[in-house]
Amino acid sequence: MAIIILILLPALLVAILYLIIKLLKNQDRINKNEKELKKTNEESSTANAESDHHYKELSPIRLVMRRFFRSKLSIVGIIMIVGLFLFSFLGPVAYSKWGETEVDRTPVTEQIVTVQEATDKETGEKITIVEVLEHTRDLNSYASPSKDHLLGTDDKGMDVFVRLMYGGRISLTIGFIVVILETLIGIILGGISGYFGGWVDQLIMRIVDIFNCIPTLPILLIASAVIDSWNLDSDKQIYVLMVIITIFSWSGVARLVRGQILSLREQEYITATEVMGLPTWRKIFKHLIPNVMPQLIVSMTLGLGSVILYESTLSYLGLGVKLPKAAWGTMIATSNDPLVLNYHLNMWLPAGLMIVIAVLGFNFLGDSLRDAMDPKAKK
Amino acid sequence: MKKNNNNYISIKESRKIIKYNIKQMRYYESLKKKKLDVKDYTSVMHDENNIIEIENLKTCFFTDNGTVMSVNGVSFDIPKNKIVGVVGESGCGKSVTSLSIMQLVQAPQGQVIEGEIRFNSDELGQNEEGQKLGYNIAKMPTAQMYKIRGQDITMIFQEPMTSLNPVFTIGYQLDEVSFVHTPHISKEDAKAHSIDMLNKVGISMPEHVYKSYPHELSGGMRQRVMIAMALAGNPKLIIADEPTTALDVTIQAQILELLKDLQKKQGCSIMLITHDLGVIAEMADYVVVMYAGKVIEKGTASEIFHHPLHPYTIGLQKSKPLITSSTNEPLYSIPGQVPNPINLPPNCYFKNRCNKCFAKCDGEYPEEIKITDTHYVSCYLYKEAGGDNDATK
Amino acid sequence: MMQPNNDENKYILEVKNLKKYFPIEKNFFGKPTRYLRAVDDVSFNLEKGKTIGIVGESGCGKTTLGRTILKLYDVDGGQIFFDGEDITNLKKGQMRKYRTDMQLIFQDPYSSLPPRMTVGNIIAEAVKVHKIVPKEEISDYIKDIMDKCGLQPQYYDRYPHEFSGGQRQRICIARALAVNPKLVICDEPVSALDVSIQAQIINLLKELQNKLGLTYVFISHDLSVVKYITDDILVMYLGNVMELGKTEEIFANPLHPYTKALFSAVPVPNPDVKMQRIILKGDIPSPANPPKGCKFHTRCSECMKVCQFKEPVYYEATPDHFVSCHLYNPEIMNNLAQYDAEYDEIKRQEELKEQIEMEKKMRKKHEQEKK
Repeated sequence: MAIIILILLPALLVAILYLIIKLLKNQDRINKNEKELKKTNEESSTANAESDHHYKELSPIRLVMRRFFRSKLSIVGIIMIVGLFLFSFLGPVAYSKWGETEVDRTPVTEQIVTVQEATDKETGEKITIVEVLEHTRDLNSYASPSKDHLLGTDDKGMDVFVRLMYGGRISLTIGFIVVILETLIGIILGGISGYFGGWVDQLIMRIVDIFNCIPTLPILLIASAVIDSWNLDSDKQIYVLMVIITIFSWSGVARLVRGQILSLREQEYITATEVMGLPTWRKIFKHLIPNVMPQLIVSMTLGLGSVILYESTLSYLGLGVKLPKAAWGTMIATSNDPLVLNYHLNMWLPAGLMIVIAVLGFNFLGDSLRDAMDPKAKK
Repeated sequence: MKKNNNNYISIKESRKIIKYNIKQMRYYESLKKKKLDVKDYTSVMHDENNIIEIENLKTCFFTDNGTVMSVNGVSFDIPKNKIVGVVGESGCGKSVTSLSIMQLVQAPQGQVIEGEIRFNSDELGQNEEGQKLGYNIAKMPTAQMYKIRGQDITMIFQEPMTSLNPVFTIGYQLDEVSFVHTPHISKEDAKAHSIDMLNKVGISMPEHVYKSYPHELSGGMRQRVMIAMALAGNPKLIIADEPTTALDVTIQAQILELLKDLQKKQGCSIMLITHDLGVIAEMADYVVVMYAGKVIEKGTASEIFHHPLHPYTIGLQKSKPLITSSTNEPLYSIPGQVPNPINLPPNCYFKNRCNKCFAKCDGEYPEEIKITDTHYVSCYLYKEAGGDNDATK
Repeated sequence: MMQPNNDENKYILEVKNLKKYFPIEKNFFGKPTRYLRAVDDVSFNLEKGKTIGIVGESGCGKTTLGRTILKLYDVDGGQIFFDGEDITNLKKGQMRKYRTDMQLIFQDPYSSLPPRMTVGNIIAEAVKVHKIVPKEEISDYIKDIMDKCGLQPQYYDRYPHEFSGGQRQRICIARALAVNPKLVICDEPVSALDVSIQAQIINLLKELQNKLGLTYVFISHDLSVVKYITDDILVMYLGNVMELGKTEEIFANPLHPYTKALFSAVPVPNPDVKMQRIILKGDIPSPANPPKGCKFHTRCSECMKVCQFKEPVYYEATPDHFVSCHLYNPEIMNNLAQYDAEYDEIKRQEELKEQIEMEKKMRKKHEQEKK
């Protein structure tokens, strides 16, 4: 706990300082503006004269980048996500002091000191009785943050910091695989639905409707319980988990793709492909899908956040990733013990923060991507 | 992908542009925030019979691709009770000129950086020397501008489909105009006024239209409603920005007739912006021809149509096939493209497309030359009135 | 169903009584109950190497006509013969054979080019798919086409967004011509362009026609352009043909009141010529709910009683000059009195019906009040 505060406080201070300096600078700049304006005006006019009046414009990629970086949130999002990736995937390599499921078996000797006060009945003197009980545990569990364990250990003596990194791996991997799977299904079904229309469209869209009105969480709970009874090992269970989350989340993507393709079909260049007599597969894969991609990337990014949330929720409920595998959800679940909730913040708070960072980061990123890639947006 | 493409701006250039833009925008925005006295934005009208005098107006947009000089030193007058037509191709700055008059240029990217737009307002009297005073819209604070905009100067847009709010009835939107301009008007009076307006623009069932929503009306009807809205405040100047471009020919004829009629009845001026020379010939008393942000020729309608001087004006008129003539000759066409408004050359912008280009054209941008009292042209082919005329040889 | 036609080689395109109806209202089972008659009974023939202009205001069905000829829509009635062969009922797969012969140029050069492909690829795509030239020659072939359309070869690797409207339209034309079409349908190819660019594109189209022997269907609302480029003109109003004939003939001697009004509405760029305008009253009726009888009668200045209930037939007023207006049909004009009487009769019956219905309503009201 103390470490978190120690880390956060300086960071906050630095941020505030930076803001103040920036504000001051701005004030300065406004004052200078008038002087500099003349200068820059002269500069630019000479620069204009030098260039051979060749008109240049921003390349499409640069234009997207420019719009992307226009809002500061996108930078925050990128920093969050990149940090998360480095932390989860490179972290365990760099910091290999403890393994994911390695239990710290150094015996811990605790002294339990009880002090009793009593009064001598005869003399009236006060007597202090100090009772020292030495207790040796063969597990270093419930340890506080220290040099040895940066964020302490949990109830089973495993290093919280290291498990945080491995948990990130699981969450991000599940997130990516699920999102890719659901996008694939969404493109295929949505594409068929939007391109062919008619009864095919009706059928697929009704299936999507059905999937949309199923209450996801209860069904996930039931499904997970059923899987639980199969007694699979924890690795395989993760795959099953991915499939289940995919099944319940592809419908949104399918609807998005269908809508996009319907509106693209009205575009004249798609009519042109028809006039050109291009084969159907070429129309779909060369002309329609590439033009849906920007919107898909946005929805994938936003989807990542929600998948991570799902996974954490399930893990929290003990239905997702199982111990001893690390997952943020299971780590938070330790707070079910009121003792942990109150006295061992280091065991569950970091995991919670990681989830917040991941979901926020992906949402920021997705939002800025949407702004950047929206062709209707102003330059 | 890594191919070095010179058509694109490099990162370095892009940074330079962005830095420059931010600086400029901050400067002009800070100018707007300054408190101004009435004196700061009034100036002397050159001729009190003009409703608007535009002098050396420069409006530019700071874009990521560089600074676009949309309006680059435009000067012309709009006399009282006249129709002034502004012609030009897309991107020549005719719409931006009108937006500058209305102070509707999109800030902070778009800024009026130089020049005066003098509006002849009745509110201001004369100065000590007996000259008529007018507001300088280019410097006027926005709060002050609200009093002029929509009341003294109104605008009709090109797209009658999108310039009406689809969720309110026509009546509601018309009444709103009355409420804004006449503060203590009662609901009944506003309605009466609105229906009167609808009557004036030739709508046959005003009571019915009053209650209907925009989507229930056809394009022509909507444009009539827009005109009614523009007229509601008894304006002195109506800016009609391509009012008939989105309409069919037969409806266009109706709307033009109506506009002309109303202009005579109401006694206001119209600034008619269009790319259609036919419409201009039909309607306008004075014509201003714009090209790449500059006025290249201006004069009365008969001067422009019967004695066009600038090669561009001549080319423009020749390149449109006439419904009255029947030839099978290839059409005259002006070669090349409209120059891009970024990094314009210092010499005549039309040089590369001109068929009468000669050595002198390599020099600076030609000055405006007076041919008659009303006819001005900026081209090296001509000399001040009285001098000999090269083109007629 | 290939029917050889009588004079096979004279006409490249024959359209007979073509109909295209769009359903606008469907009942519960998906069966259409109301139709929008976008193209209603249109017929014309087009000779090789000629240009026919299709003129009309928005909503008159000219774009739909163009696209129906290309079989982008299913035909609801009538026949289309292309080069003497009936293509009316061909399936999509069968149509692919004809795709290279018939091409379309769009109005909006901005939305008609795929944004994520280079100019070269856009033009070459159909050439590759239909294997028009061997693979090794494609690049040269495309550059040759680009040259013909006034595009510089270095544009090959650029993207459409880098070009202005006029150049984009040239790319569209190059794309259409790359597959060696016989017939090109130009759907308002210049109306989105600036005047000075319009002339360039019109000249280009005309030049290519002379060079390559193309046949055009030129759809436009701009009469001056149509007059300049076409040999025949078809005037449409609310899906119907109003007048059809040689361009010079129609401009010199317009018969239909609508054509007359249309011509006089075009503004002339000459301030001294103030033409005596025929200004049409009212708006174009909604094509979903067209008026009875002659569709133009609501705005016609010479409307008669016949016009309000009897649809005019297509009548050859002078040789090769067709008009569908009662004014030029001697059968009707000679028996006007009879038709007037018929109209009065219809009106009377309608009034009677209305009266009866009113009475019924009144009676019902009475009964209800009594109760």
